[in-house]
Amino acid sequence: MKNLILIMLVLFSFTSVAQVKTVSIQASGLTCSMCSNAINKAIKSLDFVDKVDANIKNSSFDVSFKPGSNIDFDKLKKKVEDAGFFVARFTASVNFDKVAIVNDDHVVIGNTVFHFLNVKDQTLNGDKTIRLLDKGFVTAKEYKKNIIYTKMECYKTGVAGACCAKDNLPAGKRIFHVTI
Amino acid sequence: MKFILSVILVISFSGAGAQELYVFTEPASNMAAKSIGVRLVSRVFKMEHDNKFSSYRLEPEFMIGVNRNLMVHVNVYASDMFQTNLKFEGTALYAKYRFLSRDDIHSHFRMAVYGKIAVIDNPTVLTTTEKHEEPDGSGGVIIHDLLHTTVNNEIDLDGSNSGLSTGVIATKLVNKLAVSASAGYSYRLDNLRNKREVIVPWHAANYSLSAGYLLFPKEYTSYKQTNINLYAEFLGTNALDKKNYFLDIAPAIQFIINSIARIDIGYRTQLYGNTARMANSAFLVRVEYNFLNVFSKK
Repeated sequence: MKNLILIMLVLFSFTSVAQVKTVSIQASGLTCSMCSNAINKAIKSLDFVDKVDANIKNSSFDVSFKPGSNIDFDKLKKKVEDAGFFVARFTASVNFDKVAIVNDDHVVIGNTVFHFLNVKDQTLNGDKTIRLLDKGFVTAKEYKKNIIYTKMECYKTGVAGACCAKDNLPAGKRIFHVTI
Repeated sequence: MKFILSVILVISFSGAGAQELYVFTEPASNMAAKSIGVRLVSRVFKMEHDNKFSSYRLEPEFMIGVNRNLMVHVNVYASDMFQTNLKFEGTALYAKYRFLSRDDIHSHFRMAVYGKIAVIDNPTVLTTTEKHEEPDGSGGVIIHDLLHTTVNNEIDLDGSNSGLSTGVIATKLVNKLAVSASAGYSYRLDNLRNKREVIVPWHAANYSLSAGYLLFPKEYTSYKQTNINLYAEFLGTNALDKKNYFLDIAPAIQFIINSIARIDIGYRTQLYGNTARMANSAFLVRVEYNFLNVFSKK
């Protein structure tokens, strides 16, 4: 019993709270306002989305969320793709509460696993903007270039694999690869 | 000249960029997944037999975005050609599958394959009678019946003929310009109560080259701005079993109002060719309505 409590304490000391405030998505494959409106309406249809501020000229969408809702980055990407387009750039404005990060390593924040790439080892505190590097969250060109930032297989698959065993991550657990 | 203009203001949220919403062809892009679209097209034909814009065809069309890569259309055709009233002619089923998409900011290159089957109940060769008067040499007249035979050597799967067609489409969008090319094959089938005549071509190769340009607005500031797109399309056919060919040019203008309404006005006419056709020229008017996120889960 004492061992169990110790393990839980250790686990909690490595997890801290981080809150996603807003997300900014830039879509690729479109120029006109009608396509932009298709993406706009698609993102708005998600139940955790509160408001979408569209910039037609840049093909970008600033998304704010309903308080307390479960924000799903993968669902946002899927909405853009179902509308017929792709995500070229995906950033999130996140409030960190003293989260220590190490380059090319996993960090568990709440229920979400992050893998920071191309960053300096640091402690994140306050509002920071993180940019997703996963496949489907950057252009195909950029994804190919980003392979140099890690040797771990999880960047290619987006989920924990043999490469992540050292961090006790269950196989198949979704990992978001990000940079600052 | 009869114009049937539908005054249903429509919401059109097609998954394609507006300057690639070609008026006489389909782009390689697709509708948004789980969306439904309804179109009404009206064509007014300059008929070869009387050289007047005397016939029209109504083409309601129902579209479903099955998923992000696949869409299906159902067409219904009705016209008043060679008769006094509008008559139901038949239906067609069209499917398009987008198999390639290379997207970047304000640009893309996409490819798709399509297939179409049309089931039509029109005559293949039409014979009409005209009364002709001739002096009989002694002050009276002889009245003859003159037979006009109209043959349609064009394999037209949009209302005139039953048949199958398939092909591939490639579309390139760069900023305000979208260019598309397609190559396909059509095969004529017997019309429901009318067999193929031996004299008509039974299969043909088709090709098209289209360009669309976003003329207005010069800069986007709001979804409420009216978009004006200009199109120029070339559509050609070469029969494979007879020496029939033609090339048409089809300019068009498209208005997109409030990022919600799409209205197309186009004119298609033959540039050159040797094919006996029902009509060498026609006007087209289209309005379209899409329902987004119809079957989607949140």
